[in-house]
Amino acid sequence: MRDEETGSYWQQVTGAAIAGPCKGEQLTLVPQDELSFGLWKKEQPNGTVLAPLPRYTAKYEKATWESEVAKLPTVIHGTKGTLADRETIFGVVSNGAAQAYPMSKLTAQSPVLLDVLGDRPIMLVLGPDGKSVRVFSRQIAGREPEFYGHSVANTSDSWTLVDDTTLSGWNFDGCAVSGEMKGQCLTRIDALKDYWFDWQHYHPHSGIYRH
Amino acid sequence: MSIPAAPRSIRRSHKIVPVLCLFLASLATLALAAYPIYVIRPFREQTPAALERALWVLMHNKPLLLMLASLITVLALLLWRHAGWVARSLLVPAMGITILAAVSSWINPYEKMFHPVGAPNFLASNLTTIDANDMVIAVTLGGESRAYPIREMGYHHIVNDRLHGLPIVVTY
Repeated sequence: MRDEETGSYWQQVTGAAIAGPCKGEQLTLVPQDELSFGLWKKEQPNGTVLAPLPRYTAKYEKATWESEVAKLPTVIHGTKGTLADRETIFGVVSNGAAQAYPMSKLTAQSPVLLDVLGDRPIMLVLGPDGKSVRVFSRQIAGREPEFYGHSVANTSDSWTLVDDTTLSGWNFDGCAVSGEMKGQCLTRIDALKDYWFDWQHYHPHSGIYRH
Repeated sequence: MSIPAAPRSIRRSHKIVPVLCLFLASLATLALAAYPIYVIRPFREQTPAALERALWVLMHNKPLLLMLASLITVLALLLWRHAGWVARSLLVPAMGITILAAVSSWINPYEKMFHPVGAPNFLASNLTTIDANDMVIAVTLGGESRAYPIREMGYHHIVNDRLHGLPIVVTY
């Protein structure tokens, strides 16, 4: 990206200025989510959506763009014998340790995948839509509970998360909605949905979750 | 007593050397304009060192090219009067090439490929036709939430916006 005010060049993935008068500066990452529209709309009924620009509407990506892009060759490659270059992963950095969690592992362990990364207990949660993913620290109120999915019928969500120490119920926002912990929220951890080759390029020492 | 023809042809052939130099210089200015565009072309790996060099050239070559193009053009016009047809057939492309190089350094073709959204408009979520399964980038600040559909972002790549008073850039 280039900014018009100084003409500096900024790297998209990291937000760092790599050339020009701002070189060395760093943009602050604003917390963000990659969610399905349906899920976002339910969580944020008053939210607003970027309006399509009529001039360009015909050029927007098709609904099948993901499988189309998956076929494109890559110009750099992940280490041989690891994952396929275009395998979709969720990249997480915790206390300096980077790890890639393949989407396939998340769907296999749906809705929750527990791990310890950089000595911090974390969990990745697959949303009720089966597509959206959020990452949380499992440290709460001096405890480090384990969570598991509990299917619930007759509600708009297909599951609720339950922690093994207080048996409180938690939602996809990481907040307790029932039980002793009700009203408390877990700390979010940033995650980047990415292709493996790209994630490994920026995090050459990244591990891969294989359980 | 007639004057031998030799001095004239010698003068001509001497003139061809500066003309040739000028032509080669014009090719050098073209290389200076083309180098960053060549290095940062899409679907090709760019090493950090090459990218740094290319961006440096891209940010600094405009005044230099303008100066060189003016110089080459002036010199070409000065040489024109005493130049033979061979020399002139080199002077014309020399001027053309160097002017093209100077002009093209002001245009980055890759930026023309993208159409960032500078002044975005927004719709209430119930007024859109987006499929519930389509993915969006969601940003929520101070209770205000925005969704940027991936299918739109995959084309625009950059949206400059302001949310809850904070200027933000959304990129995909």
